[in-house]
Amino acid sequence: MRIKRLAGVALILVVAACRSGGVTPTATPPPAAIPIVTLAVTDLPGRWGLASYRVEADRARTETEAKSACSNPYNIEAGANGGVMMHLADQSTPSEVFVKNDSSGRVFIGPAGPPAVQQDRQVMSFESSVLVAEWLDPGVRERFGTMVFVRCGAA
Amino acid sequence: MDKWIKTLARLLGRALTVAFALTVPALAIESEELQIAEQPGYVPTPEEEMLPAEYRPQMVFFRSTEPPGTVVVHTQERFLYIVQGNDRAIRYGVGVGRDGFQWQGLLKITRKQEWPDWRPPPEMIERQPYLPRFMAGGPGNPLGARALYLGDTVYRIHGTNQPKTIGYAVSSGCFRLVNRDVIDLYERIPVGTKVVVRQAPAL
Repeated sequence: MRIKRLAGVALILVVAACRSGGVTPTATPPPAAIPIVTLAVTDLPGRWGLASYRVEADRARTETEAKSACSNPYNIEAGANGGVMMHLADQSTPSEVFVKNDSSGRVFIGPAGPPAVQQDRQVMSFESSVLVAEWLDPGVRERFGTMVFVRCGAA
Repeated sequence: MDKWIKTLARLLGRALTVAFALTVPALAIESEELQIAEQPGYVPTPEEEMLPAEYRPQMVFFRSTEPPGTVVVHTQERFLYIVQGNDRAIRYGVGVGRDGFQWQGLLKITRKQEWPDWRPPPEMIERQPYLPRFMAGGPGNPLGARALYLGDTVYRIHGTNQPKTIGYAVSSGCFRLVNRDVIDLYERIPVGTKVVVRQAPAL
């Protein structure tokens, strides 16, 4: 069966190799606007409803779902070194992370050190107790989508 | 003690959910279990979605007294059939429930959903606390591209982002197809369709 599967895959590859698409000239996309975010590490400790979405059309209902997820919240505690304890991607135990800003005004949450490293989340917005963040690692971002944290108990 | 009571309550709840229309699972079923965790967000490649020939949709000989349009799932065979009449059926490869999560009975499709949302079960959140408690539908969603809900149970026929689980006993009682196949099934099956789940092998 495995041989058959391999044969099937090989066939697809062969067929795929026969297909070609024309090169479409693409204009250089304009640089993405940098979100204006004000976030301090003291904003983070507490209980958060956590949900995720992939397409912008799902954002509003994802926020609603995050609010209702407060029955099983994501808990953020203060760290020993001035940061907060949060999970990095695929880590079952939390580690201390910090709020970091880069020179262009972007805000990140990640391990101590320079901003905008692969393990960081970029904070896309933080308004009215709703924090929206994306993993910088493209593979992780593709898997989890855009994360929405809604502070539990917020009006 | 608390843990024991919770376990008993969970098992009882599961039994009650299934009991209304379902019969006792067949004993000593041979099943090939696949120990694999859900991979929320994982998007399979087209190559991964290419199933072995026997699990691809195909018209087959299928003797049944069920009327055309009925869905028949043979858990042990890992096949789902849409009865066509004249001893024919369209057959799809499926992943089925693990031992202890298999069942048989008669239900109807009560709802259909494109790109269903996914909520990881609490025990999964316990193991992976960083997971979102809700993941909006999309290509990396463990429920895949379509879901067809069975009666008012927790069971569904749905897609998957793990094509390699097709042909195995892997789920918590749902039936999973690769996304391409569940989309095809979704188009063919209306709400109200009768679904017969069997565990005994076909004669």
